[in-house]
Amino acid sequence: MAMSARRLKRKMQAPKLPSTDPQFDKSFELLAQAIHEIHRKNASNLSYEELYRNAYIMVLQKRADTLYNGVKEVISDHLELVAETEVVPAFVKTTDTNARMSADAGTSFLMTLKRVWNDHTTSMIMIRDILMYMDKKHVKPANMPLVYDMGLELFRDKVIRSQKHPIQAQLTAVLLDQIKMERRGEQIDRSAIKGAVDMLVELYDQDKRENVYVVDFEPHFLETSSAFYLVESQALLAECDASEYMRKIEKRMNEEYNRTRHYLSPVTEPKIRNIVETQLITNHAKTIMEMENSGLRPMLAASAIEDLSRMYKLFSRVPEGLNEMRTYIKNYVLELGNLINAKVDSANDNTKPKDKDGAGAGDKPATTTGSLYTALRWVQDILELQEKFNKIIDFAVLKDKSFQTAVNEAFETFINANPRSPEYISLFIDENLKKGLKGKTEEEVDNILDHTITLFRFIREKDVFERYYKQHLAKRLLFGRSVSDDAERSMITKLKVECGYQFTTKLEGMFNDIRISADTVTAYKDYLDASGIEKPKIDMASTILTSTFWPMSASTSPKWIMPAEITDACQSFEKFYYGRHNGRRLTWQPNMGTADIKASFNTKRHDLNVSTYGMAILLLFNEVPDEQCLTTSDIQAQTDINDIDLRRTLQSLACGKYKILIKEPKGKEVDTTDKFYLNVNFTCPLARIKIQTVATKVETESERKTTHEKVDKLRKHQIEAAIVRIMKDRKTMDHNLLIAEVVKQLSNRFNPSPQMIKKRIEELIDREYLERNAGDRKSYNYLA
Amino acid sequence: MGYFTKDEWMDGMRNLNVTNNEDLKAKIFDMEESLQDERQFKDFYSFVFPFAKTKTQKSMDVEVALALWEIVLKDRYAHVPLFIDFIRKQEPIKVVNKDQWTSFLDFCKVISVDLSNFDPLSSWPVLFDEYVEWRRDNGL
Repeated sequence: MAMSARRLKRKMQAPKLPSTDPQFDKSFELLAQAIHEIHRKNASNLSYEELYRNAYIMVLQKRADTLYNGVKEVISDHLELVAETEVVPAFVKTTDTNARMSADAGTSFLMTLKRVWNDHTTSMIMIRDILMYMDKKHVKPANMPLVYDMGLELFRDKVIRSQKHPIQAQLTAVLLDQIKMERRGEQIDRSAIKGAVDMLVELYDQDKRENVYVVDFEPHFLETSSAFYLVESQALLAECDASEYMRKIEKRMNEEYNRTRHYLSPVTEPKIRNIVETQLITNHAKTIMEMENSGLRPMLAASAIEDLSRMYKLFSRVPEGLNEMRTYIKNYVLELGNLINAKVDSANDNTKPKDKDGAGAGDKPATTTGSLYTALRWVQDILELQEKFNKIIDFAVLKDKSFQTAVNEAFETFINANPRSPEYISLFIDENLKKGLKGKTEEEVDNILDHTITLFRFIREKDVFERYYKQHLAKRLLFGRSVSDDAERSMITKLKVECGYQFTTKLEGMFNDIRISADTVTAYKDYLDASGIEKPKIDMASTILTSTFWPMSASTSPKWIMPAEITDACQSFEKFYYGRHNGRRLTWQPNMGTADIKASFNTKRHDLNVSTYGMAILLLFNEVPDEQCLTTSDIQAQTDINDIDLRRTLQSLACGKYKILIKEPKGKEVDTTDKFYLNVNFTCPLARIKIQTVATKVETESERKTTHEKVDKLRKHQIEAAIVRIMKDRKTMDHNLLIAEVVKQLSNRFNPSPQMIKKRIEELIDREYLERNAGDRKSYNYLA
Repeated sequence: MGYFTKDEWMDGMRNLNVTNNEDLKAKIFDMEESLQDERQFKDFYSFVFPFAKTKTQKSMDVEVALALWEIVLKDRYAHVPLFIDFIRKQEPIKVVNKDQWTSFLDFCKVISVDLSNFDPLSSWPVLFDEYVEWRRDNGL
């Protein structure tokens, strides 16, 4: 206000004061007039110093109280007038049915209120300045509201919370109406609302210890919002699919956030967010997930990363929100996994042997190719499934560990539900370590192996896997089928990392044997040269296998009758070897070798590469005139080869692509009375022919049973060893603790049941390694 | 089956102050009374196994065991006839080893006839687990 010394021109009626002090009255009159002028925005005519001085003197004269109350009354009266003459007329007429008109009327009301408020605060600042001395010396020490604050309280009580006029209700109604319109998508005047909100925030309610915005307005806002979103959620569910619905939720959430940022108070933000989350997400999470064509299941099937990501973000806002989603995903993975398993079951049902006359050029028995294919397909399917869900976990759920765990649990469950999983996975690795890897870079190879290791981790019966891996590795090494030595060693290193060195020492032993054998053969040749001993007629290269490493053992070596032609060579080598390694025993393994045979047919000579058994059989025909035959039982008698291998070998010689022998009657099945003739008219464009017999194939059901019996036997030993080891260390142990410890120690090989362990304990009690504790049945003592 | 030599018999009778049948009859009542004491009974029960089994074998033929259980534990524990029935019908074993014999007494003492306090995870010999399972499967 511009200060000048000009006197007041007009006088107004001053309130009657109870006074005994004309001096005071006069001073007060002055001030009261000044306040009126201020209210009338005529402050420029006032003298600040004079008014200040007046107030100052009044305080000195100990009339501060009267002054204070007097001022209060003046302002109060003024505000009541303002309420009646300015605010109420600006009310929105309920007769306005046109929405736009009522919106504008609402804005208008707010702006009026804002103006009134601004005027008031401006006035109060001036009034406060005048009465500053009183504030400092009287009001503050007396713990009364300072002049400015008193002004705010008056505004609150006389205008906003006016008892005479429903201003409060009107204000709330207008604000809520505006917000409702904006939620419907219409434009409103945000600054007008902000003005009103700021005003409410500045006003304080001492009793509730909160500002008026929070006490008077916010509860209504939250209530109507809640109702609004309740309805909104139903509407959206009715018309949107899951993806759209979630996008709408996001939109609404952003909208409300904006609202609190731009014109409501920030304290409302968490509360309204809670409401939106509850109404739109919490109450309907399940419905969204289960939507028929657009819910979680179709999203997963299509790997719809964006939608899944949105769902994850939204659901993570509400308590328990992610639990359902996680469980849903886990069950879906399980379902898909079980389907993959079912494919195997039905494939195996379909590959029962077909009719006997299936022989055609170059087809292997349908069962073999069929089930190998099934096994590889199974692994491939699972790898693809894993890849799919790895993507989902990485990109849609932000690598959330709990989701990863849930998915892993599902994998573990269905992988182990397939009893052949260890075999299949080993076959897959086998396939990739011989043929599949050719042409792939080292990096690609490593990649495939890494993925296979992740599957290996899920297997519970790791000892079964080890057994198969050894068998397959043995065949690869002995028949020279590994494509890359590096890849083989890389795989073993990875297994070592997973399972510890015990798992892999034997495998490495196998490798060493191959290497050492090569050296031994060279040494043998040198020895023959150096010693001048007559070289045997047959050139032979032996591979010496240390029996503990390899999956065959000396005691179960298949028997046969060694053909006379090679006895010399064998004995010569044996003599050499025993000379070097006294105390070792060699047992020839006829099921594992190969032989190159020069065969003269009528048209041409061919070099045949056959298995050792094949050699034994073919050599028989050297003694048989061309027109004569040998029956299966003849051959059996002269070679003493076991039934299964005999039939397999005969099939490879007579029923395969290259028919070295002619079988009567034709057909794949080999009966004891079948006749075999040497096929003297055999022709083939190739000079050198390889007759395959020992392809790695999936075990038959009975072979699998045998494998498992062997594994079970081994497990019994391992359990007992673990029990003894633990008891020796602890001397005394409680039953349940012992069981737990045994399980723990064996956990990276297989999972023994408590029953299995109990049986072994009883065995050990019977053999007096342990005894039951006399005092406490539930524990055991170690017997040294 | 177990036996006493003549010397063992005579020594034993002398220690009991028994010289004729009348004395023996009287003594038998006393002895049966003494078996009411749990410790005495337990000693007696433990004695039976090594005594009655075939000396050259480590374990006892199952038929012998069943007969002995019937005699020794008759009327004391309700499990006995049920257990014998189980062994006869299910035929899980051919011999009974020391651990099973000894544990059976404890089992009868501790586990109620209705099997309500039986815990399959506890340290009872597997044979008893199978007995419980058999009873439950057959609703006995």
